[in-house]
Amino acid sequence: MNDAGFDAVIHAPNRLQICALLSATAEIEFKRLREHLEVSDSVLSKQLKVLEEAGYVRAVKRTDMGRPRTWLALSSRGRKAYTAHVAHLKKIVGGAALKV
Amino acid sequence: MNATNNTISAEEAQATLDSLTIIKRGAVAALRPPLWFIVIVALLYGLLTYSYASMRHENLWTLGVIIAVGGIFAMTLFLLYSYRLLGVKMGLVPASRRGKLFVFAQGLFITALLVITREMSTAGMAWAAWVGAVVASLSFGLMMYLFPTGELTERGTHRE
Repeated sequence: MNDAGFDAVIHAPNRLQICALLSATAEIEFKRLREHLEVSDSVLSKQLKVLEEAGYVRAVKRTDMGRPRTWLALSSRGRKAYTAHVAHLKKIVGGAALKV
Repeated sequence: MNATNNTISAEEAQATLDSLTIIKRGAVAALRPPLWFIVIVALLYGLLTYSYASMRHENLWTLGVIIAVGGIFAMTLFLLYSYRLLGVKMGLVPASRRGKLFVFAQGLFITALLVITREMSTAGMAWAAWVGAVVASLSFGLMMYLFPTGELTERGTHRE
């Protein structure tokens, strides 16, 4: 993340969708997120790996009723970066509107 | 997108914000409790408001308050558990500052409605209990329908 708030890690369309969905909940299961985004396991895993490496997403594996499930949540760092990124986008749009 | 040098045009930013609004609207629709649930909880909240306003010393409306509070608590637990089975864990309080403020404002409104209705009812305005109950039911139901995640979401796109 840079100082201005723009975050290239978050800005990619799939990752932005992931962050937006995770920001609305406490945790989402991997399968549910994949269904909502309508992407394959591999695509979602790849995008999540990028977000995890940036420290924006936490993945926790738990067993519920004998079934292994991966729960995903936005970390506080990720939440801050996402909020700053959206604020930055609004600022760009607001700035352009003022110029016009 | 020109993300390599961390700059994007206003049009791109606008398009991204529009797509975010659509994503959030989709999330709200997916996380919205079923209509029967909203109706039952709204009616329970109406019962709570009416019972609290009509409660005098040892009359039976105290039972109404107990049933309404227990019912709302049980329904909330049921909803959180069913969401969990479906792969979503909802926080009781939204994580964003704006969401927290919104939930606080909702709580304030609900409490004020309860207190004002009771005060008016004990002052001799019997109709206040009915009016308070209807307003409470409608507003609570509407809040659950429009803001199921507790977050304030824009109704239209940023372009509108």
